[in-house]
Amino acid sequence: MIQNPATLVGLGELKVLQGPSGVLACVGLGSCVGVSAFDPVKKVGGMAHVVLPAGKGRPDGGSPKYTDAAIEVLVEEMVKRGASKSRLVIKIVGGAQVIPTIRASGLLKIGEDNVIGVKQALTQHGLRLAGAETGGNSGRSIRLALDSGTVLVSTANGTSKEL
Amino acid sequence: MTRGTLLEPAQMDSWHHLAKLGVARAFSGLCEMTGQDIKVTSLKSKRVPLGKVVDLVGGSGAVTVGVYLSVTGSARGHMVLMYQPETACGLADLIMDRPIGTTTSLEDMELSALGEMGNIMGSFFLTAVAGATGLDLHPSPPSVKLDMAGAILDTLLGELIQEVELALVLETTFSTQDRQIQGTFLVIPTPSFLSALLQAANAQS
Repeated sequence: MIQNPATLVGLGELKVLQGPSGVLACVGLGSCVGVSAFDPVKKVGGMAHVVLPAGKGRPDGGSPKYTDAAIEVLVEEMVKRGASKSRLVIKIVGGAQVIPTIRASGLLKIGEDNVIGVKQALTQHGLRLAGAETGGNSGRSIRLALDSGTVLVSTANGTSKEL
Repeated sequence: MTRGTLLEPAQMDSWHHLAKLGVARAFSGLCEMTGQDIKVTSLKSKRVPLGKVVDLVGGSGAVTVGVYLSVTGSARGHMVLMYQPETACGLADLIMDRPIGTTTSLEDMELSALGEMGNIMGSFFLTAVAGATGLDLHPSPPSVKLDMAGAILDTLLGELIQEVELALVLETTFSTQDRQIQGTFLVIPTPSFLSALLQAANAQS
């Protein structure tokens, strides 16, 4: 069981922590995607709470709220803290369509698009995805414990499992 | 409309006026539906950083009932009514004419009743706003969801985050005479919806 309190990573935010203790968490992900990255040797953990697909070409395109910028900044910040890019264990959670009827310009499949965007960005950086729990129509939370590298996924109905 | 402040003070006043009309109508609709005297105890128009909107309903992980309606017609937008589960149970008792405290869990029937309530409140809200602005506004059928507040709101906030840093949130608390129901009715207009509304309201005045 991962102990609270966790360092919460809010909407569009990205945080990196140096272990060996501490917990990073994105709570209440719907169409957003929580990206967890961990270097098991240096015990450096990072998490991004991605909101939107690729931001390339937008004035604020460098913000981690976008899939492409999030992966780039996450890797950069973790390497700065001593992590090795080749050791990063990356897991993603979210990308659901919680409200089936939501209609907004280009947002109908935002969850799906966010997952695709994150996967594409990972491929571009030569990073492998170690685990994913995405899609569906329910919200999820993701927690990364820096002492063990354990990643837990939980839902509103109380189910929780290790990814 | 600037990115940070969203609305000028005069526009805030104009929105608050429209919102007040809308909320009054929404609650009169709810009173008609339930045959109960439901009073609006406070109505606030708040500017809230996008990441903090969920704090108004207990935080991103708080299990919440969300009733979502999209708005179509001369302006496009979204309305979300969010209730904490205890409030939703109290409301289900009220709508389904059950003795106080009967509803202890939210099953399909209760969620459907809450959806209908959202439908009525949303329609009445829009009717009042449409009447005051001359716009043609229609709500979609409601989607009801019991989930974490963050998960209910993030797609909508995702649309806002492309344009603004602050959301304009209409927070209403209400109560009934014989029942201890304290609820929060949130309306979160998108910038394009607000802008259409305010332009129309300005043209009418």
